[in-house]
Amino acid sequence: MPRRPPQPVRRPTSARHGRGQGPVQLQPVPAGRLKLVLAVLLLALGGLAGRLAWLQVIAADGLATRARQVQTERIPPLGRKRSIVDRNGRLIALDEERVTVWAHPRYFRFHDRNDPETADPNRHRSPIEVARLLAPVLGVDATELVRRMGNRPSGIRLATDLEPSLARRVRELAIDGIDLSPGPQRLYPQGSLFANVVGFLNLDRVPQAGLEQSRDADLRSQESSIGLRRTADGVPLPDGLNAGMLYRDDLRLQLTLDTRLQRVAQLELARAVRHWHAKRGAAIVMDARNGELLALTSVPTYDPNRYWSFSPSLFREWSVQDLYEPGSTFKPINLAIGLQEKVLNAHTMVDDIGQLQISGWPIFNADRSGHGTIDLATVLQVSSNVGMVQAMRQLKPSIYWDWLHRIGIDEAPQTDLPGAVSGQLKDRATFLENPIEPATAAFGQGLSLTPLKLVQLHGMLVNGGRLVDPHITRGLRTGDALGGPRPAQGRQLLDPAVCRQVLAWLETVVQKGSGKPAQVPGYRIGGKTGTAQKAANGVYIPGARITSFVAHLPIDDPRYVVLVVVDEPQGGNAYGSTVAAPVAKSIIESLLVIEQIPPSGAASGRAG
Amino acid sequence: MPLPGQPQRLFSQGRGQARRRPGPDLILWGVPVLITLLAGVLIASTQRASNLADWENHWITGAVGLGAAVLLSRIDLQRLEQLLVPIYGLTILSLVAVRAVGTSALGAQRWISIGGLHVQPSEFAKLAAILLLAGMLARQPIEKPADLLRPLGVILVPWALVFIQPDLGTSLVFGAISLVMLFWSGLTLPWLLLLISPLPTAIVAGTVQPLLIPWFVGLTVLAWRSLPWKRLGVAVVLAVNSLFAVLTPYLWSHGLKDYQKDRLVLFLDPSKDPLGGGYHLIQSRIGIGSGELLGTGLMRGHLTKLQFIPEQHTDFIFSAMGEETGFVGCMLLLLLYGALSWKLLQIAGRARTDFESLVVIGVLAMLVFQIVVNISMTIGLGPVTGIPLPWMSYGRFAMLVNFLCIGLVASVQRRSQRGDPFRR
Repeated sequence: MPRRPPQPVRRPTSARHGRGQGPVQLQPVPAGRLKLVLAVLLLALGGLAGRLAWLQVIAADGLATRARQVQTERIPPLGRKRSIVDRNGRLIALDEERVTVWAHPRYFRFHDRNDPETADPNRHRSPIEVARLLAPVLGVDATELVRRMGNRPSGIRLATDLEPSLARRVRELAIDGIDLSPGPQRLYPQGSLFANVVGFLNLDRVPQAGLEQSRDADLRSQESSIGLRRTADGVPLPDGLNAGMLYRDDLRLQLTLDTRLQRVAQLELARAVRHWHAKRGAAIVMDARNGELLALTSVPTYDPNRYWSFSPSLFREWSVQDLYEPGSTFKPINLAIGLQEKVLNAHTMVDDIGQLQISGWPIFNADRSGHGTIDLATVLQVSSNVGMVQAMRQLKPSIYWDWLHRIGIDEAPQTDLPGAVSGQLKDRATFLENPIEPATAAFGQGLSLTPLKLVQLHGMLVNGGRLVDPHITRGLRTGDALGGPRPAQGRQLLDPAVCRQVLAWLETVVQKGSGKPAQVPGYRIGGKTGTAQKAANGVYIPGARITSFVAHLPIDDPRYVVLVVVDEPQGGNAYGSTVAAPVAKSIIESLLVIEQIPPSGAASGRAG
Repeated sequence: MPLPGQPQRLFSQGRGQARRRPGPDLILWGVPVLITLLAGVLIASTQRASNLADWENHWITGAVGLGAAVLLSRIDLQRLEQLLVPIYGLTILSLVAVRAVGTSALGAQRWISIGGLHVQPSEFAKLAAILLLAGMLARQPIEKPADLLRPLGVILVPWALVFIQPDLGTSLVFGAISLVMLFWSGLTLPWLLLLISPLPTAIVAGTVQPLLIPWFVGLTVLAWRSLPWKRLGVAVVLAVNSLFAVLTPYLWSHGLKDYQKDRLVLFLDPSKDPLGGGYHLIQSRIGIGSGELLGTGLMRGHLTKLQFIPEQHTDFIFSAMGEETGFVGCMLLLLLYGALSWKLLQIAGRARTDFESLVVIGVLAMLVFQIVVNISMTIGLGPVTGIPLPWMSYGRFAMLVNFLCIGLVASVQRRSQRGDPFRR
């Protein structure tokens, strides 16, 4: 800049020259000054114009896209899951709205009406100021809230699972930097009662076990993410709405289980397991006409609402997923096969000599004594192993094996229960070559299956020879509607007459055999005890037994199968009759009440 | 006829009008009225979803302001010159009153509520400052550095009162007005640079401190070459700048309120705080950009309608303009403002007295500074300072003052067009 002396505007000032006092000596503004002002002016306006050209012409597309983005909010689906109800519509699993409180301390601001000194709503607030406001609402100590916030500037999960009413009170505090995000939370109002079959969702709402996992696709609500135009303060605009958007499906997954029966079964089973210091137990009630399970419970179990405090090994239903050797409870099945093949009949007598030697292997009765020449009903009543071997010897091993295969020992039952596994059966060649194989199979050892499979097989005896699929779901229903039972189905494998014969024998077991503890006055009930040795790695574990009882009722109109299995009860007196049968009796009593089954006398009276 | 050597060519096109009985100047009156009318529509657009303001009020206030301006334009400016002392007193009094009984908004005290009207004394103080400075500079042009002391001393009191409200934006307008008027009254460019040097010093001290060394060397050379008592001058310049260099970091952390700090620096990177202080800036930029070439059309802006830009009917009205009228509309608005500025410069150059010329230049400085700073803020070129856009932003007292300014300028223009022997 060239040096220039100060050059004032040399014009008359009004102080020296009043208005209208003749011509005045006017000296104009120096040109440099005008030009400089003009240049600054043009530069400033030109700069603005340049920037506007950049924003509105060159970067315009991108900014227009961002404008649409900020107006349009994509609302992701909440991931609502459908409710699960029992056969009577009682809720087993449901989603409830719960609110999570998020804190972003860097945006903490609020308007404090009680404190006009600090009324400035733009003032940034410290975490402790916000915590003091929140503490009484959340019911958490203010210092604890501050501790949770730590030094992080944002994105802190301050509290979870708030009731909507509580969340409303938080919202009414109107604190900037406190965000509420509602979301569904899975609740299991029946606690542990259905945990073994229903499973649970973890905190991230990922299904972890049971039906929640196996029927995940059916339980998922049909939600789609929607784009919604909204104003800056979040008010949604109706212009993107179409008719279907407000639709919410209210489908529920209906189970065949009955909460009342399930509860009785669990209570009784738990009591027995506790009393006998057993490892575990399972109880299953099936309607053999169509395979619906009315109860499926196991002990020990867990509370799906607090799954994290239980061992993950409990998250599976062992009665569906674990194999065991059924022992004596398998004997009626064998007899039915023999009857069907006509190698046995109602009058067959067998010679129970107490001990047999087959291929060098000794076979004993449980009580190590012989019962002499007895009929098949007695074989079942005293649960004679030797008698069973003698009876089944009359069936050719090849035909026997074909039957075991036909009834599906070595395949998983068709079921909607998650994780069902197939049983184990020796392969055909081994079975035919080694006489010990059909011999042990005769009294239910040497082959293994799941308790569920055993129930299916006994169901076959009850329903007149059909192999039905055991299942626990009736399907998705709208609103409060409940589905009726599935019609009878299943492959017909045995003659109804055969089944009637076996059931008649089984009735005698309860009347005068090992099944006496399961007697219910006025009702005709069939049953069979089982006390099997447990094997591990091909060797039987001394003293480790698995006790069970299977019941069939009512004999005059057979319909239900009840199976109780208690694994490794302790004590010398632990048998199917002492451990499992009393549990079965309690369950049967409840079943009779719940299903309103008339006493046999009344039924026969009506029939007569 | 222009005298030989006179630089009047710059404005020669207006020459012929002098003889005729002049009607109202189309640019001087037309531009503010046109912008006011347009702004009413834009304000209506911003208020479609809420009711913070009635757009009719904008037009009504505009009409009242226009009436007052027409009346003012009939008054000769010399009369006002005799009222400077009372105007000064009244301004100070009202600014003190705002401290005492004012209503606070956004952390600052700015209003006095009189009968339901929000009186903003700081708006009137701008006008008063222009008149005061013009009066003093006309009597005593700046010929030596000491001449600066009196005008600056007088203006300092209202300036400080506005600053402590705190109204950073208006106090910046004060600064801009003062500098331009000082320059107009003869302050040389080197002196002007020295006068504003503390500002760059403060910025440099707060950011890249090593740059202070070459900067101070430059200042020394400038002072040595331009100031009368060279040793003393250099010493004073360096002392003042050093003080600022030291004080700035301290004032930054202790003197400014948080929201002011945010406003000052966030425009550089609004994404640093996209939901807090940067929100305005980001949304405004998006809104203006989404207008593209032709805009969405008046009353059709999506972001504008949906209230995405807070304070859009006041400080951020330009973002509504950008979205709804696009690049073309924005350019037209800038052209209108440019034409008005040109007209003011022309009138200032032809004013009969120094006082009148300085008043017009003061008005020009005030308007242009507000326009540039406000628009810069909305398009991401400058910080959020709370300076309204003349005739566009909703705000009754700013509107009134702006029209009064036009009245003053019209008065100057009228006198310069009236019988003037030298201009025939």
